[in-house]
Order: sequence, then C-alpha cells, then structure tokens
Amino acid sequence: MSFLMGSLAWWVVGAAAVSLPVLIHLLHRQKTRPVPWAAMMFLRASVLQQKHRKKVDNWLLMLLRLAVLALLVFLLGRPLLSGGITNPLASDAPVDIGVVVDHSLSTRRLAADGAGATGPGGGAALIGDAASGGSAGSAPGDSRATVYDAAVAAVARLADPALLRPSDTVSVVLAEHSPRVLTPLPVPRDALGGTLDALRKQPPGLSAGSIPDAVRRARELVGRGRNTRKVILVVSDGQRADWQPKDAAAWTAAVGQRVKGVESAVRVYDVPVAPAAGKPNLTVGDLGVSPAVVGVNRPAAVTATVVNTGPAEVPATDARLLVDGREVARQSVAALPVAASRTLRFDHSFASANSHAVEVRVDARDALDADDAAAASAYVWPALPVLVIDGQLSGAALDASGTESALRAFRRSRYLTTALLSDAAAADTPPLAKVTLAGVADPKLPALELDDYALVVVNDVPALPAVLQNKLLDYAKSGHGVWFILGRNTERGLVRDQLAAANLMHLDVADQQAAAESPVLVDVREPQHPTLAGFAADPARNGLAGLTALKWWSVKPRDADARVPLATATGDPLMIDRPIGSNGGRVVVWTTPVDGASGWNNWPTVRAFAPLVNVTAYHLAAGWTKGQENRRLDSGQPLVWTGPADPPVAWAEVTRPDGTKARARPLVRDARQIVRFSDTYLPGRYELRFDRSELPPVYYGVGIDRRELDEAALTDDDRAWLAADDHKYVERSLAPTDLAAALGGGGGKGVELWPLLAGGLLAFLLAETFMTWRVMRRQVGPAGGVGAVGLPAAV
Amino acid sequence: MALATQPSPAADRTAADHAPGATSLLEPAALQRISRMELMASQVMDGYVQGLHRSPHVGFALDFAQHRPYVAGDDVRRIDWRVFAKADRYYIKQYEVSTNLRCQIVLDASASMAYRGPNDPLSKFRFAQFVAAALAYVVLHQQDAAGLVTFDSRVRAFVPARSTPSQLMRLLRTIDETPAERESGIGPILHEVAERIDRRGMVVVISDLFEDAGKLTEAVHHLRHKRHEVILLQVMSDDELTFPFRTWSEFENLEQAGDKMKLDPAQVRAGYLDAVAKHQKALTDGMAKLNVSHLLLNTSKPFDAALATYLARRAGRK
Repeated sequence: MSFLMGSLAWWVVGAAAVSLPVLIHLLHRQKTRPVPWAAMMFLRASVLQQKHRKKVDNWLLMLLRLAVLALLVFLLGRPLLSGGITNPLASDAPVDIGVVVDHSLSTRRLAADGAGATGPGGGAALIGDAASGGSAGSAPGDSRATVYDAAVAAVARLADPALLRPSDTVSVVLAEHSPRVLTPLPVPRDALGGTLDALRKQPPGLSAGSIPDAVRRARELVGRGRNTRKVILVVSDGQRADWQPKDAAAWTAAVGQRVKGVESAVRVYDVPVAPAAGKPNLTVGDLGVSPAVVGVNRPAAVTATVVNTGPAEVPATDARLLVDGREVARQSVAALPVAASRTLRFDHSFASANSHAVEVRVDARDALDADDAAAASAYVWPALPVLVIDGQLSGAALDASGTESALRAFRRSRYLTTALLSDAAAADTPPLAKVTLAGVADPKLPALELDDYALVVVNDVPALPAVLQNKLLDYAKSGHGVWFILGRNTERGLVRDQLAAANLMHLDVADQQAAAESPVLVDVREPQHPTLAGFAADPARNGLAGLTALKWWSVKPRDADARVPLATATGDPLMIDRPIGSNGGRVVVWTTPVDGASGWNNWPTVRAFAPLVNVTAYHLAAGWTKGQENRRLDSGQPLVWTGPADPPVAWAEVTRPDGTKARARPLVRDARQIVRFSDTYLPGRYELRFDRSELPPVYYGVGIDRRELDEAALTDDDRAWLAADDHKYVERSLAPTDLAAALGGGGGKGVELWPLLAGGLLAFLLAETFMTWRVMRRQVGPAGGVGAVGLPAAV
Repeated sequence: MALATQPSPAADRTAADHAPGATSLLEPAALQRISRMELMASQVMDGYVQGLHRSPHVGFALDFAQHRPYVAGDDVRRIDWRVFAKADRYYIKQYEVSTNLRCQIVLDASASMAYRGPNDPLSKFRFAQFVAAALAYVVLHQQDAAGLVTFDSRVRAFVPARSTPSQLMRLLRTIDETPAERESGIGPILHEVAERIDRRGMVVVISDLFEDAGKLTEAVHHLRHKRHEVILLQVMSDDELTFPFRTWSEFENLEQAGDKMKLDPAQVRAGYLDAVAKHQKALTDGMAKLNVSHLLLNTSKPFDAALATYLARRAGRK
C-alpha cells in the first residue's frame, strides 16, 4: 500500500481535519447563557430519562463523523494497492490508451528497415508540394517508407483483437509544434480502423514537435476514459530535440507531479521507431538575395548553402532556382563529402517589380526530403521617386520634359544626379531612382505634392525655400526622408536657424567653414550604419578608404538621437543621421558638398560615390518602403507586412505552404497598416494577398526548424533520466511488437483504491445522515410543543 | 378606587409587569368582556340560592334586597310582574340570601410563577393576578361571595369569602400586594384549604401546577370530598410549553438559588416536552375522573379571551 499524495504535510492537514468535530464539540460546550427557569422538574426528568441513550447515540455519531473525515483524508491521499497476487484489481482491468504519434519534420526521414514499416510508404513530397502530397498514395512495401509510416504501422498493431480488450479505448495525438488531437473522444477498439485511416492520410509533418506537450494532451484525453488503468504510448523517432530530456518542468507538466516510489496513475511508454542509419542527407539553407535593394531587370544574386548533414558522401546532383514556382536556373552540385558544404550562387534578373518567391532546391533522394529546399522572398523595387531641389540650379526653370535637358542646363549637380540615376557598379542598367529636379526659386515648386516622392534632396541651397519651411517636418514624420547637402552656396542661417526652426535638426555651427591644408581622411565611425554596412561587407565595393575632405561645415549636432556615421579625422561630422517620428522618416545632413568642382572634397571622383549616394537614398526612403525588404523567416517567426494607410485593407489572406488559408486583419498604427501572422511553423512559401487588387501579393519564405535537422537521438543517459525513480516520467521503452507488455494484465503493478473507498465513504455518509436524523428527531421533538400531542391545547 | 401602589414581585422583571395599583388589575376592556357572563355553578349549591343558582329550597321566605333586570336564563317565576305592569320592563326580585355561591380563589404566589419568557407580555404571576382579579370582580359583581387564598409553600393570606361591597377592594389589594417568591407546595396547601373552608362552594386554583400529578390529584380529591366544585386554572408560559431554546444554556431554578443545570437544549427538548406532556396527561386524566375543570392558560395569549372562552363553555354546559 502506498499513497500518491503521501506527503507529511498532507497527513498533518488530514489529522487536523479529523480532529475538527472534537474541537467543535469542545468549543461549543464552552459558551452558555443563564436562563432563569421555573419548570425544572420537567427538565430534570428529561435529562435523567435520556442521558444514557443520548450518550450512546452521540458517541456513535461522533465516531461516524470522525470516520467519514478519516476516510476522506485517506481517499484524497490516493492510496495505491500494489502487488500482484494480493491485488484483485490488477489482473486484467481495461485500459484507456493514449497514443502520441510523432509528426514532426524529422519523421519524414526514411525509416530503418524493419522498423515496423508495413504500412504505406511515401512521404516524398517536397516542401512546396506538401498540400498535394502525403503518404496516402505510396505503395505498401515501398523502400522509401518514412519514420512516420513506421510509426503508423506500429499504432496499427493496436487493432489486433488479441491485444485490446473490448472495453479498452484509444486516443490519438499528433506531436507537432502544438499537439494536434485526432480523436477528441476515446475511440473503442472496434472503431479503431477509422482512426488508423485518418493517421495514414496525414501529410508528412513539417514543423518541430514537442513530445512532452503531446503527452500532456494525451493525458487529458485518457482522463476522459472510464477505465481505471491509463497508459500512454509515445511512438517516435526518439529525436532528442523533440523529447526535451532534462527539462523537468515540461515533463512534470506533461505527466503530473510524480512522487518517488509511488506508482503513477498514468504510465508512459516509449515506442521508438528508428530512422534509417547511414543514409546520406543534403540540407539547403542560408538562402539569401543580394544586393539588399533589387531593382527591375537589375542583376541580383541568389545564394544558398548546401551542406551534407548525413553520415555518408552525397553524389553529385542538380540544384534548381525557382522563382514564383517556376524553374529559372539550374546548376549541378558536385559530390559532397561528409560535413562538407558548398555555396551556390544563381545570377538572376527579376523582370517585374514587387514581391517574388525564391526557392533553391536540390534534387537529392536522401534521408530527409524536407530540408532539400530553402525558401525566401525578394522584393524588387520600382524606381524611387526623388525630388532634388538644387541651389546650383538657380535661375533654371523646372524642365517638365525630363532630366536630360535639366542636365544640360547646369553642371555642378551632375555628379549627384548621375549617381542617383545609375549605380556605378552597373552603369547600363535601368536607374533605381526617378529624379525630378527643381531650383530654389522654381515657380512650380509650391505646386509640387511632396508625398509623391520618397525623399527630398536639398542640395547646396542658400536658404530653405519658404514653401518648404513648414512642410518638411510633417513630410519626414509621415515616413519620408530629407537629405540636406551643405555646400559653398549654403548660408549660415540655414544651418543654424532654419533646420532648427523646422525641427529637423539642431546644430551648433562654427563661425567659419573648416578647411584643411591637406586632404583629411574620412573616419568611418559606425561601420554598421545602414549606409555604410554594405561597404564593410563587400570589400570589392569598399572605396570609403579613399574618401578625403578639404573643406566642410564645422557643426555639432545637439539632438540626442542624432548619429554621426562619418566624420573627418579631426572629429567634425561629415554625415549626420537623425530619425524623425515613428514611421521611419529621417533626416540626413552631409556637411560637405557633392559638386566635385568646388574643391571641397574628392568624393564624386571615387568609386564608392555612386553606391554611397544610392544607399543613402534607400536609407532615407526606408520609411516609405518599410516592410518591403527581402524576407526569409525562421520557423515560428511572425510575418509582418506594413503598408501605407491608403488604400485601406479590410483583410489579408495568408496561404500556407500546405495550401491552407487563414485571414488576418490589419492594425492601423501611426498612419500605416500592419498585418501580422504568427502561425508560421510550416516551412516553405507563404503568400499574402489583400482584398484590394491594387496591392500586389507579397511572398515570404520560412525556413525549416533547424532543430529538426538535429540527428541526435535520445541517449542512454537521457532515457535513464526519463525513467529515473525520482519522477518516472517514462516507464521504459517498448518494441512495437511488445505493446502487450504495457497493455496486458501484467502491467498493472498498482491500482488506485479510490473507487472502493468512495463507495465506503458513501456508506459512511449515509449512516451518518441516518444517525443525525435520528438524533435530531429525538432532540427537536414535536414541532408545536405539548399542544401537538393531543392534550388540551393551551388557550 | 384609589389603592396604594405596591412593589411588584421580585422576580417580575419589567416595568410593564408592575401594576400601578389594584385597579390596574381590572382593565375596563377585559372586565367588559368577562362581566357579560355569569359565573355558572354547575352543581347545586348548599344554602339558599336564587337567580342563577338553582336551589332545592324553592319558596323559602326571604328578605327582599333589590330588583335587577331580567336576563335570559332567569326563572320567569321570579319576574316581578308588578314592576312590569308599572315600568313595562322585566325585573327580578333579589333577596339577601341569594348570594349563595361562595367562590374561593386560591392563587399560587411561589417563585416559579415569576417566570416570564422573552416573548411573553406578562409573567405567569402577573397573568395569574389578572385572572384572579377578574374572577373576583365577576363573582362579586353577581352578588356572590368571593374569597382569596395566596400561598407558596404555606398559606400566605387567607381572605374568607364574602359578598360585601368592600370585599372586592380587599381582594384586589391582597392580590396586588402579594409577591411571587419562595418554593411552592400546592398539594399540602389544597389539603389545608379543604379543611379551612367550612361551607361548600367553588374553589378556583390558579397555579402553574408544577407538582407531582399524583399528589395534586390527591389534594383535589380532598376538596371534592368536601363537595367543593374545583376549577384548576393552570398558567404556563409559552416557553414552558414549547421549549424553544437552541444554544447551550444554564438553567437556574427560580425557586431554589444555586440549583443550576448546564445543558444543550436541543438534546433535551424532546425529553422535556415528553415530560410536560406526561404531566399534563396525568393531570387531565386525574381531573376528569374527579369531574374537575382543568384549563391550561398560555401567558402569551390574552387572559381575558381565555377566561371568556372558558366561561362561555361553562354556560353552554349548564
């Protein structure tokens, strides 16, 4: 005999509860009130007459009440009757069986030969085909049977009439990222066929799996069964990441509090289904699209890393690049030795703007198919509309016919405009910016709608045009960029007063422009700043080392949030960056001009100039293009889309990799719409479509959960921990052919006595009720006093 | 009728219970209800009886005393036709010796009578005082003789029965001045009363009758043996009849200081009620055999209504 709640504290509480009636009795006796009384003769007679009988009754009642409480304490202590022969309940009691079937991504691995894989094989569907795939179509006996197929085959053994009693029940839970219940109610033996069919029709798993979570769910399900014995079978590949060994909190939540030396009410057995050992496996990962800003018909590179994660060399195979589901490039991958990796690079130009799904896939017949592809998305930018207000363009009218004639009309700002119109790395490619030029005194300037432009460049103007003075702050706050380039035409009032008055930037200005006798090298203070990070990452394009300056505006920013990524070696800022508002708007100030001819610096002549101008422009337009970055998400990482408030979106529909759809409603915050979708545990391509047709679909690529690639299986140490006497989370491991050991009569080593005790408690309660009634009846007597006993009523 | 105010019985606990004087015992409303009745003696009285009280000595020469109006039930032979001829109203002639009913009221003034329950308007003793006063008034009002005995364990006052006009005041004063105290011993008292009343008549005992039923019956038997008509008016509080107590209490004997019982009322209630019922049954049975009226009066109900009901019942039985 043992107790599931056998702690000392419990018995102390129990003893206190049992002594309660005695205490109440004693306390009750203490309080009396005096009553002057005349009819003492009757009182004395009644006391003498009933004293003896009452004494016996009261003692009996007190004993009964004590017994009821003691029994209750005993029952709540959950006594467990142990031992075989002496335990009449342990013989062949029916069982409620909870079956946890591992349906994580790792169960797509090929099963070991003879791992119970007598069911249909298959599971060869790739990530993108998950919806149409599934293992249902595979022929029995297929050598490519997966671990999941083997697991289903092991569960199918339960249908054997010799194994289950008629009153046994089965509940099935799939261990996925969050447990999925296949059978909300316990299924009797005779109806098990339908459940097995449902199991076989499941498409292969794609997410990570949590065995403790699934066991907890299974425990809830078997709790609904009527049988006294409860058993949970966990059919899994024993992947360590899924089992979470040494995580006592997860396992305690799964199986309940366990007490050392006490038989648990629900016993958990591990039924391992081994994956094939020694099979080669290729994993594609680290899919990336470069450059960070991809334009239409501009060269882009898609890179991916192929790693041999298997124990054997992988022969040469083909790798394919799929854009929007269509194969656009293919290259061969040479044979990869164990643990070797290779980076694949596909050069590709996107012919249209907006979002594109990108996928790199290797055609390998390896142990695990799900990691043979990696998905991401690329956002192809349309040209950025840029308004350049140029102080060197004074007198020239805004030329409506375009840039060409404007370029003819002046010389100095050619460098800036040229840099904006063409990335120097590929001069013949279409420009990423669509530039509109205007002079300070241009009569059409007031009519321009600033919101039509992603950013405004104010280049070397003497003073801010009056029409812009009050507009620029709101413009920046709504997520746009303003770029001030100070030069020789710039007046001190602009730097010191107008920028501060417009609340864009507060600068302390030295009396005179700083000038060096010899060119001063530029100091990159923040290599990770978005405008400079590309140069640090790509040494081939890193021309920053050659930048020098001779003359500049010597200013000190006073705003706490202003950053100085670039400065002179003497410490004066050359580039100041300050965010404005919460929508990604910002202001950038260059303190030295870009006209080349003024002799202030050598910037327009160095190779890095055009990229620097472009990246600065993209940086300033980041608010305008926020949420359109290239997207490669990790499993479980939420996908977030942001867009302008107009047009308003009522709902967005997310199509998951398995073809299922879900809808999400956008939130509006700071005049931008935000769609957030968190259920991204399936790897592959997610497509976001909107109810507004003018918004193009947006793609996201979600990678597989890398933990599922971990080949590590439960070690002996892990299994010893799971089965340790201290908690006994798992009884032991069973072969799929040995399920009878868990379900048969011999398995019941301890039976809870609560049904018997509950019956006893009920009997005691009935006896107590009867005794109470008996005593009360005698105590209270006739309701109306003596008048009711047939004697002359008092008048 | 200005009578001196007397201190109330020691055990009477509230001011409402304290009579300001003897006249307070005769509330007009109560008297009006009771005085409509004639106290009917169901037995043939000894001596010369006229009017209401039938006498075997019909036609005996008597001294005229007064006329009184005819009421239903009077013998028509006693109507004074001369007066009728003059006044066109019926009058009965009354004579000196027509006051032959001798009613002795025996009032228990022991300490047990001082009990007053929380919901009772009066203590048992005050209640009994009112009943005694009312009876005395009615008896004297119909020209009969009334006397009074108050007692505890011994006779405290003995007023012989008379029908004089001053008798009512004397009785009322005695009733009002008597406190409820000391132990009771009703059995021996009734024996003593039986011995001390020389002429047979009516004996009205007003008491809670907390006495062994056998002894009480024996004492009443003695009175009956002396050919008295006996009426037992048993006064009990509603608490004594229903025992409504619930919480642990210490019951202190009103008659014996220091006699206390600490007990759970719920435990003894049934036994108590059983004992009361047995006592009452023994009393009722005993009194029925002796042809004695036994009336239980509950102090929680108006005493005049109870008395009026009883008198009406007696009138109907005649």
